[in-house]
Amino acid sequence: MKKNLVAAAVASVLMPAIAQADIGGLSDLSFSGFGTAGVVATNTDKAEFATSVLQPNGAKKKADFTVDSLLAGQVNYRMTESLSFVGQAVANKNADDQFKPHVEWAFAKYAITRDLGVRGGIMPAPILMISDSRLVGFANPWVRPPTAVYSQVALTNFRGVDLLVRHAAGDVNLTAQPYFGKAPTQIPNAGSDHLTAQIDNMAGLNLGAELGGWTARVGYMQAKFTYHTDSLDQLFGGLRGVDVFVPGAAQLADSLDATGKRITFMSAGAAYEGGNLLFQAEYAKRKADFFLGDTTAWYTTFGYRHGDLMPYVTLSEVKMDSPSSDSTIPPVGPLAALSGGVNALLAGQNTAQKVVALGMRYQFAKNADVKVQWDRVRIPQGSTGGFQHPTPDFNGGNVNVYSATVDFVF
Amino acid sequence: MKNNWLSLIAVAAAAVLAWPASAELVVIVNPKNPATSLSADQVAQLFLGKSSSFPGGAPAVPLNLSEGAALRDEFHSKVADKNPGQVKAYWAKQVFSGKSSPPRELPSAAEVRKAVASDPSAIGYIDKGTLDSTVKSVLTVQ
Repeated sequence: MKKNLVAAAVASVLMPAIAQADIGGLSDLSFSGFGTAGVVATNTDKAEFATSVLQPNGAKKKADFTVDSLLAGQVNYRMTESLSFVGQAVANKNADDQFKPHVEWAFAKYAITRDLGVRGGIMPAPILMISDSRLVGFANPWVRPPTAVYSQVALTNFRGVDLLVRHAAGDVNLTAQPYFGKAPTQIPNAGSDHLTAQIDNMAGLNLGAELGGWTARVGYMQAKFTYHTDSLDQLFGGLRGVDVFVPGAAQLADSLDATGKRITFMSAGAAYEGGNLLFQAEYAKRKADFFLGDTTAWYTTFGYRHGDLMPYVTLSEVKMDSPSSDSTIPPVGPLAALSGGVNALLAGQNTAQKVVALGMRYQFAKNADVKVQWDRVRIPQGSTGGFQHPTPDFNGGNVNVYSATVDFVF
Repeated sequence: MKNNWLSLIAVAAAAVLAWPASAELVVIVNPKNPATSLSADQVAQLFLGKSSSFPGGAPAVPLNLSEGAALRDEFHSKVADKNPGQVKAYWAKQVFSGKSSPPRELPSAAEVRKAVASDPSAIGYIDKGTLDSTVKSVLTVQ
């Protein structure tokens, strides 16, 4: 800070013209925002389509306006050439089914050099390739980021620090972003106030490379996950209580219990935008040492631009890498309830699905677009396919999801 | 690709027929800047905030024209291969992901030339017809 001031003072004495040219950019405050008005409906009333488990409910046959709609405002304040602040408030469907604005970001950025910055505060959680811009419909080709991958890591912000490192190697721009922090995340709790999942000791690293229209990125994040509900605690207590009669029951409880358990995300992605073509693909592996289980997910999007029109197709898939049932507890007599509880918990985490999505983006104004998208979701038997509140007779098959959005920035 | 060629031919034809001197734009830096020539890709990286230094390592401060300026649209289309809508979407992504902010904007090419003439780290673009000795051209875009 002081050095910069000294440098600025020296510069202003030696080169008045330069200093003057710089002053315009030194201190500035800007306000901007973005939003989406979205409508979505499906062809089933047996389950609800939501973007992730962070939403308490979702769309059925009747048109729903809450799943994709949001409004956000952002303030950028550059105090000096090196120090700036960003604040962002977002109103979207929260865990309590309200559209109450919340502080999405509030962080300071200090540029140590032109290619090395440090940030701290409530910040974008950069876990997947477009995690930090997933809410900005206007900046993305689809109605929403492919839920197959993006519902695996639904959180959008964290509290902590990160470093942004940039290095140019010939024509290739390399970036590195280590980050550390925590992310308390609101989880819907049917019928009452939300619960909070504690995601602590988050440590992650993203490495990126850009060349021409190409971008490639790999990311890794690990954290400690803690989440309790009354019914989960009751189930695990019950399992520990019958350990005398059923060997392995307490061990099973320990393996499912989410108290300071390790969760990791590994992801790799690539994108190309040039001429009329758009390509984006990402692969993500989640490992969770508790009931949530392990998944592998990917998507690939191709778009072809005709002026302001861009039709696109996205293929995506989620595979469960952990078993969705467990036979430790025999489903007999008084143990039937425990056995049923364990298997319902595990089956509920099975979000296996294969999706083919066709859509069209039309940029009808410089700062606004309209999109329509049809997702055909193929759900294997026993999976919820990521749908919420499935009725007992929801047993897979094909579900169609119809969406339309208007995205804007201001 | 075919479309690109067709549109290139169309643009070239239009240039010959209708835009006598204004079809060419030049990317300019301060005469004190040691850079003698830059590739379109290097210029695009600076104006898209992907790089903040000239090839030699000296800091670069890009100066853009305000939205709606015909020269700005031409610059983005020819140098960064983006139409005005794509440019807007690109910056929406950068700004609303907290990564970077767009270059400073000036209302006219004359002001860009003046600012570049007085700042060794500045880089801008102007109509080739208005090029003079107060600035140095490092790339001609046709």
